[in-house]
Amino acid sequence: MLTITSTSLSGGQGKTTLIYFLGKKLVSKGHKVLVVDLDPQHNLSTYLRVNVDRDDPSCLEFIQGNFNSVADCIYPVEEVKNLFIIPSDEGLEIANDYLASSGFGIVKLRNQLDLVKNEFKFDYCLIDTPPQKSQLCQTGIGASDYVCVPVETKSKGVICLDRTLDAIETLNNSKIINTKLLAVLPFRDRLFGMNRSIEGKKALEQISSRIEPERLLPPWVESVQPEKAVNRNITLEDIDFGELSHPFDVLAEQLEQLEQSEQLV
Amino acid sequence: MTDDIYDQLSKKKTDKKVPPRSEDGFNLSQQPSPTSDTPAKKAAAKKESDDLDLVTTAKSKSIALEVNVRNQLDEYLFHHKEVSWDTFIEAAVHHALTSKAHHSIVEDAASRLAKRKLSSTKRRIKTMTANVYNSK
Repeated sequence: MLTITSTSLSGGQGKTTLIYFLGKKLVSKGHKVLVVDLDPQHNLSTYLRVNVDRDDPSCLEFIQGNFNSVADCIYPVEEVKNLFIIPSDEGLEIANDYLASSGFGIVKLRNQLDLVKNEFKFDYCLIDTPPQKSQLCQTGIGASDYVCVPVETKSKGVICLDRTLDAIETLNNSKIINTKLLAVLPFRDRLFGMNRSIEGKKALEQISSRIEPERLLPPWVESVQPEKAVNRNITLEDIDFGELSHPFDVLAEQLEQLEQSEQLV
Repeated sequence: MTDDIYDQLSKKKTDKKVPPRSEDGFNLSQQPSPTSDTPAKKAAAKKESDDLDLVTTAKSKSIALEVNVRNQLDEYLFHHKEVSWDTFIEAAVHHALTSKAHHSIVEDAASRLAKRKLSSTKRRIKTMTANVYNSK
């Protein structure tokens, strides 16, 4: 099971959207995917229509190990075959205190996901993190083999990319974890006809200068269609805008290659 | 290991329920119910409060007061529902400080503080003595 975390230290950069469309893309290619909603805002759980009652096991109990069976915390996403979720609600906020006091918060989620690995044959685990350098965000990064960073093509996005890459480097320097940057997704690329906005162009130049060229995904063009798809819990292909999901095709192919090479090892 | 995750989940899932989570992440069993603040419940609480002649105050006993003084205050407040605990204290202090008797207030306060310090010292000595006995 390859574990990929979508992370960025600012809100609105596209972390949840990335996990939503990547998860559905991988499922459409026949893979079994588990997504973990590590954000107390629980947008991913809401988008996938998995709303837990206050007394149902959720991501909080998964992290705390408060379950009889790890299966208690995993829920199938209705009408999307082979997509599963460990959902959250606002109650997940307290996990920050739990992780901080546990003394090994950074590897807590990784250890819990090992339990899933031992019992279930998921191909991929995708983790959505909250937009702060919180304990939840750190444990999300700590659990991952690879991280993807969505970046809005604006100056705010570039600043946020710097902070996020710094945070990942700092966590890696701890020698406790070793996660790798898989991809940076330029998000909300504004085009006027065939021309990119001046701000977007400058932002893309800045983003390109900070990472290796092969880490940069094709920019995701700004459009209202992804929001429409998310609101209806369907894919861009379902509404005949499949061409907009090109960055996710590229990312899914990269992941398949990585999974194959991992199996060879 | 079977490949069918749906099958695995249905076999392994238990009916475990967890302590209800609240919106701010705290365990509901240690916190008031989130539904306790609904308008209907607030209205019911207010009616109950009116029926019982209780006086709700903005700041509940945040200042330590001598028991006798507190009893006097409660007596006043019981008969004057148009005031709250804190506004009554504010008005009392204001009146006292603007009256001619404010010098005697300082004297009385100084004597009360002296007594309080003395009693707390005694209490501390007794506690320490008790600890010494216990340790023996």
